[in-house]
Amino acid sequence: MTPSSKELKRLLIVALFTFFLFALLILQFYKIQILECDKWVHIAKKQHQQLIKEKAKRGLFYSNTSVKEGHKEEAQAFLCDIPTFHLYADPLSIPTEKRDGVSRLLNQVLQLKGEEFLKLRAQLDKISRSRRLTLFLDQEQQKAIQKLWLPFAKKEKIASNALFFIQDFKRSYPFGKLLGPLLHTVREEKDPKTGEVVPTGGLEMLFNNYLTGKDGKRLILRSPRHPLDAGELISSPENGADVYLSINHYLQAIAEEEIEKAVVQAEAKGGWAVMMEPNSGEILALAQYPFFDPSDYRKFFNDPKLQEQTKIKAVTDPYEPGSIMKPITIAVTMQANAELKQSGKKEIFSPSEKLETRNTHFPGRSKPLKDLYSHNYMNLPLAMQKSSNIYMARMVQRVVEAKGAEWYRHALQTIFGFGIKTGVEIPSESGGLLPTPGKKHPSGALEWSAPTPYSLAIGHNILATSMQMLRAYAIIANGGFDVQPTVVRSIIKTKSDGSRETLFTHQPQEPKRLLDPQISRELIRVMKYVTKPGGTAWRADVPGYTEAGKTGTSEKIIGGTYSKKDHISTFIGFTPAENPRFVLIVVIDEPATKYIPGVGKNHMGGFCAAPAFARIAERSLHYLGVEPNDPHGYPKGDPRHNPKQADWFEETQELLKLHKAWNG
Amino acid sequence: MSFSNSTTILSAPKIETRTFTLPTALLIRLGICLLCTAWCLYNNIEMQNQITELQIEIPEMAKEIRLIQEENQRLQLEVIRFESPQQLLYQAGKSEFANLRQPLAKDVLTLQRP
Repeated sequence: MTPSSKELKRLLIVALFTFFLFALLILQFYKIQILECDKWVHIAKKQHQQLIKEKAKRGLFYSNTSVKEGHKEEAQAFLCDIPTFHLYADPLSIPTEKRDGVSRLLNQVLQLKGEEFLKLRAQLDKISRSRRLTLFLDQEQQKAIQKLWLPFAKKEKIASNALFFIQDFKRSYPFGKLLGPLLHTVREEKDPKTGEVVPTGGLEMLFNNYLTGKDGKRLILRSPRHPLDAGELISSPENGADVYLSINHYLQAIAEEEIEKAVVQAEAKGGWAVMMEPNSGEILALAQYPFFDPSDYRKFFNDPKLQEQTKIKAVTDPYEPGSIMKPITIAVTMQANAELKQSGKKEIFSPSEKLETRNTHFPGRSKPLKDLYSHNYMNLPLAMQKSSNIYMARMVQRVVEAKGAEWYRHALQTIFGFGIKTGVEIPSESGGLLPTPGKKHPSGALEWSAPTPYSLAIGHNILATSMQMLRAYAIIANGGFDVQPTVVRSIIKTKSDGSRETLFTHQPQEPKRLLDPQISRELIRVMKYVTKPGGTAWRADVPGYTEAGKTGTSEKIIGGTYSKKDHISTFIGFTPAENPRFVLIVVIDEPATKYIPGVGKNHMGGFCAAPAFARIAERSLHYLGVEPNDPHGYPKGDPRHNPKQADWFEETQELLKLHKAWNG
Repeated sequence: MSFSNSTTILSAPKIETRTFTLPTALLIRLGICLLCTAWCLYNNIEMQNQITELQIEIPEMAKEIRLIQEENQRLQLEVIRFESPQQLLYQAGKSEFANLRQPLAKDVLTLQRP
């Protein structure tokens, strides 16, 4: 039977229509697969893939483990980064009716209460594929959540990666508060805009650019079977560079332990001790009490009273140095002497010259200048040993008469750097204040007037930081060379292939002579009397070693006036006296103003700061393996005690005789 | 309808049939080729299987390594805490260690590696 033409026609129409439909389908395929390929691939990837950050490790701070000669120890970090976990959820993968169960399950570990729990529950209702539930879980919490979650997800038929963890790193301080104010820390909350860590201050802030690494990227698939930690690594994380400090952790611990004891004993508000290598300028220890514990930083920043403890007072708080300025005065006088001699003029001073030192008036001063104990006559060693104000003022009077006030000020600034920041790598450093002729204080009073040089001679009318004083003494200790204080030795970046790239190295500057070596030697000689019998700081005598130094006690300026009950007491010195291993300053802030019968005034530097100097110095020299150079210079009761054979015995005896002869 | 006897029946044209016989050498060659192909194919599949096996093992191993690293870090932290200078100073202050002294620098002998 042959189909009729009508039937054939109908068949043709059906065939054409079917063909047309297929053609449409092919066109649609072409559109989707070829023309809109990128768009649909992007949408598909968005649905099935997630790009997460592979966290880079922040650089660490390392101790200086090569302080012992020929005995370098392994690198030792002051802190470490421990892994921590942020818990995230993919709410769209959790059925609405099961979200209450999930939140209750999580709370078995998180133990959230009230509003905090409601906040977490609300996150599960957000229309999102990634909501942050909680931050900084430790490994145990992470494991506990996983242990509960996986069987629950299986039982409730929820995709197991509907909850997932993102690993991060958290600063941890195995040495506790050690070096806290210098290191500081980073805040737990990151910058909401950039996602970068926010340092709280200190070296973390100063070296943030070096310490910050570059996060990597990892692509993970959203599928119930796909483990989140095995996605494709798109780019490897680049860890931050490590900062190698000049500070040694052991010396730091000694300094912190001793400064704490000294502050407690003196019933003081606080105190600090800074140790510096006099030739390289490397800071070996920088202790401060009360301590700042970086792992509990919120406590300190939320309380205005505790905020004080977060700054390094040795560089941020200048104060009137008092008598520790006297060796500087003598150095400047000797420098003037040397210049006068060189130009063929008459010298203004001789260390052995007998000088009248009774309480006396100086031009421009309304009150006579006094010594703590009145003396009739003194020479330089006696003046240094007894810390005579009048002797120092007389010296400066001669300097100003011979060279002018401008020269004197210039010498203080250019040789010893007063009024200028030392440039040490610690934030918020103060340059102190060196009065300038013609310049006015905010109160309107002139900074420099006729009696100013006499005040400067005894460490008044000048503001200096402990770091500036340390540098000045280092110049004396190292034979007269310039020195740049530093806390950083190098910054090194370790690459992913294990190679190391040095980004910064502290280069010792070209030795620049600031003082004649003869001046340095003479100053060391006279400062050695200070810690010997008859001196103001015999408590600073370091058992078994020679030392040279000076005490200082100054009244604090509170509300623009000198306070009679608030003092700053200092001892600064170096040991051994010849080729010193370090210069050390110990400052006690506001020791209790009281008289201890049979002992003396508690607030004097020779009483509260000097013993701490001796203890820190002795323990540090033992640690450094420095051979005792005064083998008989031990205190009474020690079997090695033999004062007649001890260093500087004869010289001290002669000075005692001289003092008796001149002053009765 | 019938055919008369006188009708001449045309004989069918004679078709010349040829039989192709493959030479033995060629057969052997083909056989070798097939064997090689099969061997290569088998190896390829085997390799793919091994790669797949490794791909399955990688996440497990990565997890294992991560756990070991975490444990290592935890132990390192314990060691650092134990050897902290404060802890050493505290130990050094104990009477049982009073006989111990820090060595002098001159007493420390450093041997250079040859």
